[in-house]
Amino acid sequence: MSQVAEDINFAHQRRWSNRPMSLASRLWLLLSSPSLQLILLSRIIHWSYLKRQQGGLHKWLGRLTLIPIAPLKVVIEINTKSFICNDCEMEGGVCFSDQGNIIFGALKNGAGTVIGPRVTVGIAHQGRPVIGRNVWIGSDCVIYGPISIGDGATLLPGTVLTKSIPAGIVMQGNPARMVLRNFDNSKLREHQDVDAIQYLKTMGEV
Amino acid sequence: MFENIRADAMRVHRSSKSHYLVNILRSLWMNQGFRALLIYRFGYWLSNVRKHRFGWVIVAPLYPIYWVLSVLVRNAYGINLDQSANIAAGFYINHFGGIEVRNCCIGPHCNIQQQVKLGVSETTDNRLVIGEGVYIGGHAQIRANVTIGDGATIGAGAVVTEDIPPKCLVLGNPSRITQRDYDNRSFL
Repeated sequence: MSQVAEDINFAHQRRWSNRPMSLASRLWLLLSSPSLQLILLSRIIHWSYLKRQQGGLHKWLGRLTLIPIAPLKVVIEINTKSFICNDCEMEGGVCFSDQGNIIFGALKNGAGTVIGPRVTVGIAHQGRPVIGRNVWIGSDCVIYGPISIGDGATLLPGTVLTKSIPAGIVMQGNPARMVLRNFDNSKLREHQDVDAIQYLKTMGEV
Repeated sequence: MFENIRADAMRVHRSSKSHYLVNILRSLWMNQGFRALLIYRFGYWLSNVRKHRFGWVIVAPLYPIYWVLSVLVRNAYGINLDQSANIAAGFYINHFGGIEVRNCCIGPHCNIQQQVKLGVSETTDNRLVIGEGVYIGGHAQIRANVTIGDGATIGAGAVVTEDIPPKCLVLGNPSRITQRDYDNRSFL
């Protein structure tokens, strides 16, 4: 539950950075944002999956939870057109785009990661990546292969990444090339409406 | 129509030995792309029946049902299989969202993924032709009237603008042939 609270706080900060957080505004955010519902459901599905891996009574508890989960999953999958693998280990405070179309199959996903619309992470026969903390992934990205993405890395929109990258790096293009080193992406992650390429250009001029 | 649907269901369950009707029902439950494909096959069958002299007797009550179902699938799953496309048996759509297939001729035993865009929007004489056993990865775009050989593999995110010989691995934007004699039968 604490992980879900972190998700909601992070989304609240991104959307209404100047508003104070209250219980009502958090609830309104959870009701209005399909991506938060998707993350909440994926956490429940992950918990149920872990229960089903265990033996004895836990296994049956996990199977019992599938009965309410299955119809909810159909509704939310159609609403967001997204799919999150049930064995993905996600830390608290992850933000997905409300526009959806995300196919997410990472093995691990760190806290503070922001994922844009129309992103694919992991392809079954090619291997599944491990995503670090505070990573910003733009729209239309494809990430696959048995790779790891370092903390604080930034993937600009339209990147196709198949190799491991270190922390704090900016990648762009298909196939992906390095643009910058030691880039601080906290402004991109904390504000929803920042155009990444425009922001990088202004940073280059300064 | 029915043989094609049977072959499509076999693609969802690769090593299934159960009855083919059970297989089709299980595929319908598991795979959203199979539902879209079923409705596409139904519409294709209707357009064939319409060519018959008294075909309109069957088509007139069934066509509104097809139309409503196709709109539902297009909006719910984001899979747009246009009737201008000609899809052979054994087609498999893995995942859903942002798929557009139009004005193309797809061979048997092909495989596409999410966000794949195939074919140009305007109808011309020469169409996009895709051979047998072609794997097209996610986010790939083929928006030109080209020919893609049998057993080719188009990697994720590739943008293809030229003809591709058989059994090649194609990656990148603009696309380049990175490997010849690439065998995709292990994951097709």
